[in-house]
Amino acid sequence: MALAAADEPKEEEEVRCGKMAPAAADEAKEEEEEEARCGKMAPAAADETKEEEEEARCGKMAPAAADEAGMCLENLDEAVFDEGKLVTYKWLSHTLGVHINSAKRLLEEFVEKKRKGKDGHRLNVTYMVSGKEVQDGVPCHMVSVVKEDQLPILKRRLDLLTSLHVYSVGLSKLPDAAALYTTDYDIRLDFCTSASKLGAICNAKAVPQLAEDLAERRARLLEHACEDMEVQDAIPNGRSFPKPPSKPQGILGMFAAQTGGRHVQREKKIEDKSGEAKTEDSAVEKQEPGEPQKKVPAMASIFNFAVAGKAKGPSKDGTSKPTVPEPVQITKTEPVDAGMRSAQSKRFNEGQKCTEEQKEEVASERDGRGTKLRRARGNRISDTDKEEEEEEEEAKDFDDRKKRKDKKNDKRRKAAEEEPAQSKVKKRRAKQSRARRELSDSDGDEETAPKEARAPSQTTHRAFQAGEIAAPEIKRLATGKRQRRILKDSTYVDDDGSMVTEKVWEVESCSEDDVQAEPPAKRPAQAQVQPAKIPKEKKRPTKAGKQTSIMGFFQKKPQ
Amino acid sequence: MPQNRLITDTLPAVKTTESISKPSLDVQGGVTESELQVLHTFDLNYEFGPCLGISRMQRWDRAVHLGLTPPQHIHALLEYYPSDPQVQQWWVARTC
Amino acid sequence: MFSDRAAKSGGPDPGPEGQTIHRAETRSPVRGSRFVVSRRSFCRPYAHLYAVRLALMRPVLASSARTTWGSDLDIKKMFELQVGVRCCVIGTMYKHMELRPSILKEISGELSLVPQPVRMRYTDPSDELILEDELQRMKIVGSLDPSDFVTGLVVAVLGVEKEDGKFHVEDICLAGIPPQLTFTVPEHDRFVLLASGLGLGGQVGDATLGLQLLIDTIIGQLGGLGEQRAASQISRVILAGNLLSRDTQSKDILNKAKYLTKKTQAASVEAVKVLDDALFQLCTSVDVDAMPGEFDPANHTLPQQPLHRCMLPHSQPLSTLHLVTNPYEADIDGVRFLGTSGQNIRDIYKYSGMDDWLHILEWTLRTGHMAPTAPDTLGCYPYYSEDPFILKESPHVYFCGNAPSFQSKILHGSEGQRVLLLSVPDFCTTRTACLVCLRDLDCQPIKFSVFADNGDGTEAGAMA
Repeated sequence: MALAAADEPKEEEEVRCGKMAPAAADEAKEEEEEEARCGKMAPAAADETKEEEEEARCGKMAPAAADEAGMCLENLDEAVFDEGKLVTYKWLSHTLGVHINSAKRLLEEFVEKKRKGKDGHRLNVTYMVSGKEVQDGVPCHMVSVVKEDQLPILKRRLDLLTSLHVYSVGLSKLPDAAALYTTDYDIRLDFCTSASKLGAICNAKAVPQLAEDLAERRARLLEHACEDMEVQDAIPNGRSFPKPPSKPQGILGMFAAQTGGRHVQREKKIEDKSGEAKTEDSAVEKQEPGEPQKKVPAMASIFNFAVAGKAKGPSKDGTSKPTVPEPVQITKTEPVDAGMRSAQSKRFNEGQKCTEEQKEEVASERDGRGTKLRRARGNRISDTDKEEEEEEEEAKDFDDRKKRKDKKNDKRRKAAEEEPAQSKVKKRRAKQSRARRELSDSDGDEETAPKEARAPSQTTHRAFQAGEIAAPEIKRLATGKRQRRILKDSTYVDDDGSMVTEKVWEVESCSEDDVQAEPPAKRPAQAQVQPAKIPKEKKRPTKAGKQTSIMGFFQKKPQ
Repeated sequence: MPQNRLITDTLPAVKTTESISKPSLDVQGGVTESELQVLHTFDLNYEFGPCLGISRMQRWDRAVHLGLTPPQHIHALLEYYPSDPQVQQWWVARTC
Repeated sequence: MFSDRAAKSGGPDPGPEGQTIHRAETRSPVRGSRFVVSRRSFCRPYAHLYAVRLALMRPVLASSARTTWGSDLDIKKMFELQVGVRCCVIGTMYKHMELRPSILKEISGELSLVPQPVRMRYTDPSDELILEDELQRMKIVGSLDPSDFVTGLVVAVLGVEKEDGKFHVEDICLAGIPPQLTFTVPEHDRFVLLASGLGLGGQVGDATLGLQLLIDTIIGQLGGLGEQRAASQISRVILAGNLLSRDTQSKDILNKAKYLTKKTQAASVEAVKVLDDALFQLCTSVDVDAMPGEFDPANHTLPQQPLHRCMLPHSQPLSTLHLVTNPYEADIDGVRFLGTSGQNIRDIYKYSGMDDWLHILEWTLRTGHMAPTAPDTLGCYPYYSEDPFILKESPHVYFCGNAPSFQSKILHGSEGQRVLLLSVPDFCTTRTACLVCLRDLDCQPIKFSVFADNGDGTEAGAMA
């Protein structure tokens, strides 16, 4: 055994030195503990890492290669006897950065050596044993962790021994197995990423999905959702037969509905003021102070949680600042390590690109999702990389889009001026659909417009500050054609069959009158202008109201 | 109509009732009473399974899917009035 | 099997460091989509499901009955029956059970009647069987024990209607084991590991190290070289439901005053984090199919739809994590796997006299229907034009999760079907998972035990 290990140490040592950097922090902690116990080290030395110490010792000792294993053993010795640690093979592997199998050998060697010495009786060793045992006539593969004294009994019971190695070494008698687990658990948390590298089995497939894959998946999902929606529309399904297909559904719908129309209205305002600033036109990464925190949709917060869990790095730099960060700056601050986040954002972007010519619903839904996600992020962690990516995308086709938009806007403005506001229902519908189509070919369009509709002065201000990217906004403002986006719930089924309820932006157009109206008086103004539209919109809150009462019923129940 | 008022009429009307939807159908020059009768006969044919909760078209398709031979003229009727709730799902008015 | 392979491919000592073993590759599995519910409409009555079930199974039963009782068999609908004429009737069974929990009876408790006793099983000698077809129903009596059957089962019965209005049964015929797809033998020894009932977030804390040992074995941390080599042949892990413990479903929040529970977090939140961590460890090395189960945060009715990816922020970016539906169906290297998280079997166990999970599993295969008690006592999506639980073809591996113990059996059908029946035990209580070899459908349990402090050498819990 010792012989077999003799040619290992050199590599181990190399690996160890290479891997030490991430381990340093942890060891610094150990160091502190040790110091506190011994009290012999100067406080200044507290942040000296173990690695350095080891190296110093290494230098002191004979530099011969054969001694490097001895040095590891000495480390082990220290950890076990001086620090009283429970050392498992995984702990050792992670701490020293050695391969998992080497760690097992080291432990074995250590135990062998110590048993000969005077300290041998103090060691409590647990072994991992596996093998075949016939139980009730069934040949069963047993994997056990046993204490040393139980080892012979267990070995005798096994018909076939497949594995035997030291699992842990420690001074104290283990009352139960929980200590083993917590040791491993703690060390694993610290070295979450390197675990697979030190393991014995590697799987090339098991890598985080590339952004493209995710994008593809997302695109597929969208197509799927689109198909589903079509089918749903086609089939007169249940009672919803004469109603429009997108009604508030699912839990989110309830949430939205709970406070009825007023809530929706307020939410809309919030969305338009702050949320939209962070949508496709993301150069303007602006947040109205204090507003949006109260309105993270449920799904978004899940997303947010997911995201926050993965990457906590590059936050803070733009979080809910009332001032507008410059787009250029944002571009620069792309986080390097935000793998998942960038993947997600990529996914959205790519998805948008892929399915650009698809159904309006899907387009708006997708936008809604993106918006939501981004908004949620904007609320808690300023997520810049997505915006950054979108900026790039936008910058690319910015020019021709601008032209296109100008033309459209002119046309629309003419139309708006010609027609009396009352008789515009059909026209508006047409426009609406046109606007939605526009949604799918140019992202910037749809939230710039409503923003203007909402708070023109603000928007202008922001647009100017945001500089080049926001230029289309100004243009559109000048033309006078307005669009309004409304948050609606849409439920679809993703490719795993999970039901997903998303808030979806749907675009409505409205005339100039709205713009002139003050933001608080917006709703009435719209009601005047859009006699045909309003009943439709009103219907949603009414239904919501009904649901509220049901919710109230459920809430009262517990008491 | 005023003499037929019910006490429930004071409540906000939330559902389309038959009495409302029927005249509108006639105005549209839609499905005739006899056609509805034919559709009803189809509904009540036990061979094609229960009819509640699904549209007539769904029921017709299911019958085909189960290897039965539902009458072709039903399908024609259903296709002829694609957006008429009275034709597509008779139970809407009754069960809601 | 696995042990032998481990012993063959290397010694018990830890392997050398330099050698990296590669995970065995399998073709990406072909998954059936019949359990994916894409459009969810719940405004339909369940009558459709029964009607469709009867309509779809009638031809199968007719042919099965003819092979059993002769080709000149007279198969009649119920309304065609004549008193005293011997014939065969195909219909859906309904078992009238006195002890069956009923909301109406619960309400009647308010009328100062005797409350219903809480019990594990609801069978009683007074149970009666009733056969239904599209138009009518009648009691069936005779040579059949009601405790062998459950509601919702489609059967063919041979007998005579007598003057008492009951149908006197001579013999009964089930649909039989459905035909099987041809079995393409994989060239290599590949293992699929099935585990169920991880029970994360449970009150019983010491299952965690057992789970960690399972993970370490699969991903090749644990054991000697041989063991690691064998473990690298595990090409897929199927987690058959109940990833979270029943304890995470605490109903306290419903019973307590709101101000008391305002700040409490659902127990499942923490458990899902642990699950995410466990899945992450597994997925860094092996493909994992995670099915939802009875206590998992998915929909309750069968077919349960996959867990939502958002819940697993760490593991979900890995391409090796597959979140799947509860009745699970996939072709893994040409071997058809079909199974559930065990709700269907547990429900039949409750409502019939059958005791053995493996026996019930086999019985469902013989009846040609995975979950006959759905939608009666088992939650089920209101299908109207299909019944996805009808077994049109036999799988090669037919399993159920969360069983009380490990059991397996190779079932041979009359048409050469060969099905591995597998009851995957609850890992939380038994610390046992099972390994299936794809080449020969051999099956071996794998147990994990951690020393107990009683010092007698036996491992607590694991030996149960």
